[in-house]
Amino acid sequence: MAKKKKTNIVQSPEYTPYDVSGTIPADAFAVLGADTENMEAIKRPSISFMKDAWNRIRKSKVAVVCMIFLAIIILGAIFFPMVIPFDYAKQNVAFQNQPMFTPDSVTGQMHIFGTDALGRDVFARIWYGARVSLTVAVAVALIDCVIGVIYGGVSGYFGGMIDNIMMRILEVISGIPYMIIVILLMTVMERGIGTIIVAYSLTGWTGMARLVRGQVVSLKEQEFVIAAKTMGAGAGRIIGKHLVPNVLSVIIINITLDIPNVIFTEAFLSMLGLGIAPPKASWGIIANDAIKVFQMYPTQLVIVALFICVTMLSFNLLGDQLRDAFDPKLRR
Amino acid sequence: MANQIRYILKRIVYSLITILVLVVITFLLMQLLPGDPFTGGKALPDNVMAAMKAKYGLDKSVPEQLFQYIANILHGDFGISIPDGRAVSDVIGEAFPVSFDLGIRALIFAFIMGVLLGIVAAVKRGTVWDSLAMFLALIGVSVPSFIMGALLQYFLGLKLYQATGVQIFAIIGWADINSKLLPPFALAFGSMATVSRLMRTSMLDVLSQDYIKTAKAKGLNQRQVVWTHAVRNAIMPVVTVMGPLVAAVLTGAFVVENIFSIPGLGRYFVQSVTSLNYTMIAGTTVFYGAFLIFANLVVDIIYGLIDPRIKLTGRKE
Repeated sequence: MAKKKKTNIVQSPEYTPYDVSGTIPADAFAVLGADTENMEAIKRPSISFMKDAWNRIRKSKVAVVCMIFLAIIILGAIFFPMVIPFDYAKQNVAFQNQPMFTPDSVTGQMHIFGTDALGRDVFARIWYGARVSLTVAVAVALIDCVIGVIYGGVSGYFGGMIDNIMMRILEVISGIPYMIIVILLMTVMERGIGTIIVAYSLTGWTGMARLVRGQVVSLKEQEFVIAAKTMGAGAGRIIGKHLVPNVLSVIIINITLDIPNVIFTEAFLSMLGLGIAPPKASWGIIANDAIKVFQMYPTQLVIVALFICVTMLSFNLLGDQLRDAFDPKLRR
Repeated sequence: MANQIRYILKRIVYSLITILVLVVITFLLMQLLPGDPFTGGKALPDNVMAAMKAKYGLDKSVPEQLFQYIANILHGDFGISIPDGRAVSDVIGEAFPVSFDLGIRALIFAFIMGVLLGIVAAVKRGTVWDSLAMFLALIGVSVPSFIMGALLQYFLGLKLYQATGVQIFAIIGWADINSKLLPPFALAFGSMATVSRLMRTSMLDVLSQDYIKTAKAKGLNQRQVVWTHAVRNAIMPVVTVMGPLVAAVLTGAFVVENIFSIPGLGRYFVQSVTSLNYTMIAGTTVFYGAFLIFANLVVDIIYGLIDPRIKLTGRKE
């Protein structure tokens, strides 16, 4: 193609690349003037930080798959216990350890995941357990977040002596291994969902507090904070209205990564016999029951293990993807 | 040097305060419990009860008891395990070495495997090896140790034995070498994942530094660049997580020891928790807590000592 063009130019003697015959007429030009209205206009639609992150997270296949899976788990946890014909705690000793897809001996309804060592429907237990495990996880993550943001925000914003004292206290609290404190609290308090939430929240907020403090310390010297101060905003307003929204990405990532930890801790405590009191079910309790009969009926453990692992995996992956999506360095 | 000593002293003071807080919390929580060690058994006559309480110092006021408790702990006396009458310190002395053995194996495994996986993933960034290593790491983060342990027991302990007729991996116990393979692995898997992810990030960071380019420009081959220049520097941040890793491994052992029936302290701890043996719970809690805080302190001090930046300023004088 290029070669042909070249020969064309050479072969036509009348061709001139530019007009050298005369001057350009003045009326070829027109004064348009400076359009001061639109000169500085931003042509691209303005995208807020959160919207930009959302757009990017939507493009990530991994994140979308994780979100869809988590949505299924959450919706299932809400609605399945309402529609399943079996009760999660109803025992049927004559119908133990049935394999998957066995019709019930009495009603003929399908036990989709079979029954466990006490003849309880595993499918019903899994979804009821999802309710309990996820409630605990989300509640703890939110409580951690609230305490951590307030503590870290106050400590970072005021700085100086207050910061020093608050950080020393935090250092001591986070120095105590949390699992030991949680176990200790669980022995002393009555067993139940509320207790797990309280026990874990008492120690779990330190990570969030540290993160928020670090961010606030670096943000509070910036101009928009000084501007707010000049206009007479109080400390509470500056922390709540100006600093926290800027730390929001860190907070969201941390909540997402906190949830799988709580799911793990709850399961761990249930394994030690310190979780929620039976006959209530959580994923940890189901796993604990399943491990007892694991050598003979491995499917029971595999089912609940899949639910625990894939949920934890989804939250972890989603957290990683969120970290990338919120990273301003990667913003296009 | 003066800086380093000040840093170490500061860390020691904090650790002592933390241990003290832990002891006080443990003591107060035990006080909150309803009843005392003598309720629940046979009803005793009042004068016998008073004598028993006096013997164990339970007739004193709470602050006095607290000071007595701290003094006893400083003497290595964690009290008597009420059901079997054994000294808690004896039980700890007997069972902890087993847990320690298990924990050390798990830690070494987690550290070496994690670092290697991280190096491979970083050096072969964007290749199948990278994806494979990071996939393994994700599995490690997402599969709890107790599920890992049970699955290993079933597939490697039971199914492999049934298939080959040779017991390569024992299912339970802690005696021969073949019983010491699966538990450390189950325990280490999660920590290995943490280490490998951290190592990968740290390696990628180091590999993009100018001195790596210099090393390459000097004509060093890939192996020399990676091993003598990159790994040495990249491994530093990994050392900082050793403290939390020790905690993860030790607490993870509570469950792993139960699954594999290993007679370690974790198993005793769990048993005392389920049988509500309060002196044992308090004793082991304080012991575990103090041990972990101490381990954290050691890691911090080691980090302070091996950080090349601190060494560099030391050498100048």
